[in-house]
Amino acid sequence: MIIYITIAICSVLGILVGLNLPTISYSYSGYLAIAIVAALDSVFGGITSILKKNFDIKIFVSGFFGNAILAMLLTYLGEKLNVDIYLAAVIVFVGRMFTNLSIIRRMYIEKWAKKYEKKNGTKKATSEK
Amino acid sequence: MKGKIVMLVTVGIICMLLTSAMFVQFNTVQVIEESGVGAMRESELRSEYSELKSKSDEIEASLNEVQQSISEYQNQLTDNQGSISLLREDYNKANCDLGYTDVKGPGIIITISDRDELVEYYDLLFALNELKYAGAEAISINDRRVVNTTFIANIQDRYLVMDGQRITSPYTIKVIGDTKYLESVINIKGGLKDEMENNGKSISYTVEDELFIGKYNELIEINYGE
Repeated sequence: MIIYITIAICSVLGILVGLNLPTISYSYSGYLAIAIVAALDSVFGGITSILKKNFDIKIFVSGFFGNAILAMLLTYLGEKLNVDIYLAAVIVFVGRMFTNLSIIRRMYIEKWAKKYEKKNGTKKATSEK
Repeated sequence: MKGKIVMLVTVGIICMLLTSAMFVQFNTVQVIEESGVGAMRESELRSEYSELKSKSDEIEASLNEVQQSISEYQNQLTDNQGSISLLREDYNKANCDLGYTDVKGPGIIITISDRDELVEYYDLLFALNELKYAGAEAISINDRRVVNTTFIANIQDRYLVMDGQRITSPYTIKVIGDTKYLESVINIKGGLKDEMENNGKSISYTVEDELFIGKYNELIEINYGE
């Protein structure tokens, strides 16, 4: 639970910082966008691994920065080759984000379903009594 | 416990980074859309820009070329016109000065003849000098043009020679120039008329509105001067 509070507080702080930072030039905004997508993917991956209880801080941090940098490099390469390589990065990262989100969703639904069943089960048990 | 704190801090920093990057991007996109070019993709803008740039370069190059050729033509034109008119002016003036052209204009016909005394070469030279002083533009004696090289000489005290040919009295001097000045050098006290009449020679003149003086018919040779 504490992890979500941390995420929320830091996100609000991040929003405040981001709103006060200067805007970047148009030609670099494409790189930043793809880096954001990669980073979001890493964050969702991290949340999934926390829920799966196999979270590793080293993998998380290296994935966060590594994916972002790799995505930016690929976008740059694509620009030089005149091929929209960043589309591949977007597809991969967004696809993984959907997968991770569905894993998170399933886990919570199962959790709640169990809780609900437990509650109902106990109610039923009492009423049966 | 320590590991958990490290994890929380790391996750927090990363979340902060992510959200701040996201909001920078949101701001950027908003600014770009407000500035109007945001509606187009970068590649589109790029290609359009390069197209327009190459087109404008082309047009500019052709414009430069045309302007250059125009200025060249203008230069040539002014050069030609200027030099031609200058040359023509020079040529005409030189011919006129040398006596190589027929001259027409207002002037005076003076007739000097022997009376009590013979007309001497210095009388004619004096007359020529006076007339030139009065601004004569063309002079002829007995219908022979007086030019730069003209000489009048006395041969053996018997006859006068002008440019190698004998001339005899009466001497008709035709002068083209300002008739007012020409008349005044004739009539002035101690002038041509006084000089001739006091020395026993007769002189008369008529003022003409339209006088014709023929051109010099011989070649002026220049052998020593450069």
